[in-house]
Amino acid sequence: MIVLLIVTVSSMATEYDPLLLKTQASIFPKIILLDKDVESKLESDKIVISIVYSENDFENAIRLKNLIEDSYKKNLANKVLLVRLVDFREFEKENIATAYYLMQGEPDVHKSITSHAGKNRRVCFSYNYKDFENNALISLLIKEKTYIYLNKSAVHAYDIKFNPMFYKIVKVLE
Amino acid sequence: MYKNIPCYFAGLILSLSAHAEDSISADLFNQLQQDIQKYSEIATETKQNVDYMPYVVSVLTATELEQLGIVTLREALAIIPGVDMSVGMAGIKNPILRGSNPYAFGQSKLVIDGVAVNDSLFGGYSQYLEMPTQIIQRIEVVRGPGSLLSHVNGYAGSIHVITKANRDDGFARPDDMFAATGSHDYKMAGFNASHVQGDFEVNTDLFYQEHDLTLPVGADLFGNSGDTNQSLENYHLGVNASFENFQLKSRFAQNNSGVSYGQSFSFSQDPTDYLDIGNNYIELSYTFEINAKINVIMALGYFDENRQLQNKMMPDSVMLPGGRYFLVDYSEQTLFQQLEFKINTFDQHSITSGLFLYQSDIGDNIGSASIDGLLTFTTAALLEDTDRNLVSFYIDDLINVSEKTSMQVGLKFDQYNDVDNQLSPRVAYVYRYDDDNIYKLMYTGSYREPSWREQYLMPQPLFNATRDVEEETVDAYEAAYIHKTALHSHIKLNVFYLENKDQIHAQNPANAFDNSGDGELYGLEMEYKTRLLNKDQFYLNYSFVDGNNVGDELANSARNMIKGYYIHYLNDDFSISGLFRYIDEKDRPATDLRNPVESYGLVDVSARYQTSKSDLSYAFSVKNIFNEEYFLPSLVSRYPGDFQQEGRSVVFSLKKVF
Repeated sequence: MIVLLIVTVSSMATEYDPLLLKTQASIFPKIILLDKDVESKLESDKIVISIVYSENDFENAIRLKNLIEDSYKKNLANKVLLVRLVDFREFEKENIATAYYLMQGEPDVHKSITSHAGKNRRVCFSYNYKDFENNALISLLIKEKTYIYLNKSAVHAYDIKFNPMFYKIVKVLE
Repeated sequence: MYKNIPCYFAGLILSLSAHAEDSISADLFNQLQQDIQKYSEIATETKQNVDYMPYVVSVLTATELEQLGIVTLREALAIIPGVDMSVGMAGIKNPILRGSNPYAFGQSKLVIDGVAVNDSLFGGYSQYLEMPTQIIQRIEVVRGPGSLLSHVNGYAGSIHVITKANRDDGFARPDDMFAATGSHDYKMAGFNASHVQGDFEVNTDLFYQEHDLTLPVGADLFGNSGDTNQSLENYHLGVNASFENFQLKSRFAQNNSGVSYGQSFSFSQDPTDYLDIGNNYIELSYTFEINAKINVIMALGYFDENRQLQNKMMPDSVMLPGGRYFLVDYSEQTLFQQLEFKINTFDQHSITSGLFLYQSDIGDNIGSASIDGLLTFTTAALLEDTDRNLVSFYIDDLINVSEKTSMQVGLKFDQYNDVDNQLSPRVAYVYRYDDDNIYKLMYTGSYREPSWREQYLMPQPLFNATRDVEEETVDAYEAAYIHKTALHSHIKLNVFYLENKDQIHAQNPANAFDNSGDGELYGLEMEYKTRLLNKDQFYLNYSFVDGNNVGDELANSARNMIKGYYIHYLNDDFSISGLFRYIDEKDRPATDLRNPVESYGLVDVSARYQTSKSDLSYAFSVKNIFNEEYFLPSLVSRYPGDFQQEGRSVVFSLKKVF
């Protein structure tokens, strides 16, 4: 019985707030453009967002991909916007995206991805702002207003220069 | 000089390029700001950020309701902390919030898609409680006075139902069909459907349901007992449409039922007795912008209700030759108008102000009696012919003082033609210590206007009215603390103190509705919601209330209630759930010397399977699985043995999403 429970538990998706996903799908791609050096981070002149998900979250990852594609129709500031789904287990460091989006998952795995993003000076978004503990750079939380959070402790590691306007709308978390 | 030309052009190009970049950045910045504004508004509208806002609101979503196998709005309300249920005349179910005056129907307001549907006759809305959850997108329950709509004055609370036809969270409205069957020959079927063409959008729901439930009841005042007719035939058609700045909301509803425990709490020996209630509302609104920061809404609406009742109130043995029948043919019509401004001109202020007018009139107004088996009738007016006019002015300012603090300041002034004018203030303060710890303080003054039954009922065998009865009022002081243990988990605690004045009930020797003194209620509510094993959901709430609501007693209200549920996902397609409720014993009014109504515990279990490929879902629920025998309180002089409620029952349902 316990084995059955563990098996069923291990194959379950985690919970995602549909509105939070939709808000992030709408806002995060625009933030990529506020990276002053975004042109050097394109892949074949395309903006590529890699959604990194655990096996259990495949359905939610597809949902997020669809939300982004519905919002942007594969076009972001006259560039082709490509959204890739990447299983945590199949994450290849050679395949560098313009930006990464972390769904929910294990801290150790997240740390390895944020480390990779930081080394390559690529923005790393996270669904849950608590992933700042794992060095994600940007997240978003809906409170009485919608807040875009920037992880102050990770800013230095990422070494990304954003357009000064970005700092007018972002909240820096210590 | 010529050497400088390339430099000049290069500079110009760079300058133009920089200018273009700045322009793009400015455009991006504006778009981001618009996104932030848009999703903040959606979150506020859909109460998804309610933990951070100055209200105490419980929210139930369609997903939760489906997973728990909850079939009706009434069942959904039963899991809200502080909410209990009572039974009134003709079996009318009445939610009681925080023990507040359990003998009045209009203690809470029911608002469907922004339209308040309480009637004038009783002030209640019981005919909507059997609404199936398949047409509901979200239920928001404000515990305590006030409402989420500035022009609606909830007394003990307000219940906001957002139907799928009025889905407001920015997501598409999928079409679906649903059906259910179960115990007591329960049958239900319906659909939600939408059509969009350009600027025109229409969203509809339609359902029909019926059952033939009977419940046993002990001896009434004439010594008769047996199975009471609780049968139901119920259908709604909801039509919401929009075109450019116009919006239409409408619902046409019919609720035909048995007379349950009788119009005057006597057992009916005529199985053909009935209580048929029709309700229709339609609201047309037009929205426009004065400028980017001032929105105006103009609305015109119509609400009507008609009731037909036949009830054999006295058996043949008491009233010769054919017993005594009582028949009612009643209707009322209400016209309402609203002009509302939403003003965001001032930084950090979100001001809502408006004027709301209604005129409510009686149409049919006949109470008939027959003592010869419905051959001849004597007729009289049911109510004194009257109308009720209201002019209401309201202003409400939600101030986000800083990222840490918000305030809400509101004032509502209501002028009636037949009762005292009322001023309802509200002040609320929320302090967000951080993202995980939120503190709230709230004061709300509100009132309940007497229903027409309480004020204008012509003399009847059971109840009498008082013409100069005044509103009952409440001053509510609340404090709340929310600790978010994770992104989707929380602990909530709130304490309340309610000063109720001039409470209206008929718990007196003359059975006359009148202002019957003051009371005070105090208590607390706790909620714990967490995710276990990834997606599993565990929810538990506890509510406590004490004080007095009738004389010095806390009558017909459970002091302690514990409710909760667990949803376990075997995989992404298959879930099982258990839902339980413990309701503590209930004391009686001082004049009622019976033992308290016994406590009870109910457990429902459900299983749901959803095929991802075909979007077809199946659900099976067993309600009251342990077949607990439990009772709701009755009037001592009518049914000394109280009202036994439904035992074990099953429901099977399926839904197909297109």
